[in-house]
Amino acid sequence: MIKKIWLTIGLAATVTIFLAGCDTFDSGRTNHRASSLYAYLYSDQKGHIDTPTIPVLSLPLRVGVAFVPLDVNGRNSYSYSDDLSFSESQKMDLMKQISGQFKQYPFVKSIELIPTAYLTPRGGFANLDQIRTMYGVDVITLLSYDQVQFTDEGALSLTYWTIVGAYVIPAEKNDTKTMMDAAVYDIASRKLLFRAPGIGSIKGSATPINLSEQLREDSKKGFEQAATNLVTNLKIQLAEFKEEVTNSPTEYKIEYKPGYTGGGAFGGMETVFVGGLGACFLWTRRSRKA
Amino acid sequence: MVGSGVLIALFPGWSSWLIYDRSAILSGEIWRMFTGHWVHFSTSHLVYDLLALGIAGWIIETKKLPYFGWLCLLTPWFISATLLLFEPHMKIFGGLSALATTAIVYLALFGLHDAAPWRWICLATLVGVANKIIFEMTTGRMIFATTGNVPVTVSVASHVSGAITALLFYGWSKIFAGRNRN
Repeated sequence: MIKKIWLTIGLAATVTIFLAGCDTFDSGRTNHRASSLYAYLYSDQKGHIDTPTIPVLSLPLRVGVAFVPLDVNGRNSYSYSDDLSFSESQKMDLMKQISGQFKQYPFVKSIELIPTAYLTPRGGFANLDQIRTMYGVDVITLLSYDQVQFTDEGALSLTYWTIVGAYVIPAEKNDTKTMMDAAVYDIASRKLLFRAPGIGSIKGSATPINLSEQLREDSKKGFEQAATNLVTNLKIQLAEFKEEVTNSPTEYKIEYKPGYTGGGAFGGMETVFVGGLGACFLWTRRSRKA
Repeated sequence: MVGSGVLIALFPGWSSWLIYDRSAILSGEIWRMFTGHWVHFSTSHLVYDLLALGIAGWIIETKKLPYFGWLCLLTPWFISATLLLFEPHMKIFGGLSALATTAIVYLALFGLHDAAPWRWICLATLVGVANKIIFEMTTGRMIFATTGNVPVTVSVASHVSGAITALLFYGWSKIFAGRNRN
């Protein structure tokens, strides 16, 4: 009887050691999720190149914001279940954050947040033309992302050999690297107006039991961090784009939608010139009197 | 004129009754063709326009150039009529820069008859105004000006008509002065 008990305990311990050992000798896990702007816009154009024309920016602009759909197994439709780790509601929240960046500019009339389901994987500019008709947007911001999550065991993972260790010791080291990209296209001319990147890096740890939950949390934080970084870079790139449009009248054409507000204005420099004119007048008067 | 601009800016509620509004003008509110020029869209817009007009107006009055009063009275109507004809999609317009452009061109034209160096300064001014208008016509942008955060597009027609009005008044004053001499 005692022999049987000892045999049972020995067997249980051996099984536990094997399981923990397998886990201990695991060389790390990687989760990767990405959407590709290139695959969305150009994958169906083998040998054919869309030549962008001079963009006509009709002010004030109607801007669309959308995430590029994942290209899953060559399917022609997007499903919300394709990327459960980055849900549609998370994407909408991020799009709202990014759209806030455009709203402050007077040359932006409206911003439309376009659900990913309305974009077809590998849909290209033909799909964007459909979006343009559906939403009435002139310019679209296409968001894509690339996130990799590495998981490795730390030294404390030896405690997994005790069953309790697997529940309470956070020896799983997680490293989440996220890159987001916003590319702003003028749909009619197919021209890339400007782009901005955003990067996020989250380090964390978890127990094997709550590893998947922690990875989801890190993934969410990674996207939020990358979006914040992207918004900062977007602001800079938008300001540079405004300068470029002002300084390159042959590369960008500007026209105005009916019902616009017009005016003339003397800027600071022009007022300085007029002030200089006044100063010259005073000087010539005094010279004549002298 | 400068005082009127400041007064209107102090009472923003008046703007809606005074601003150039195409549909309101075509409905019979023709006073807006005159008063609209005194409405501005931001503090910087107001300050810069008033400074430019004030300096140009001071030079004109110091030199006692003829018909400046008539110029200020009639030019806003000419400019607004030009906008009604040539900018049919422009719903709202505001700002004294067109009138300021008229005043600057007017004093520069008379300055061409003065002795150097004022003559050369006026010539350079005319060239500068012409370049500014050409730039605005070709690019649709203002060279330096912004109007705060208000989405205002440059009205090239207003500046062109202002410059032409100045030329017409200058020509008229020369013809009238010639007849008086005869």
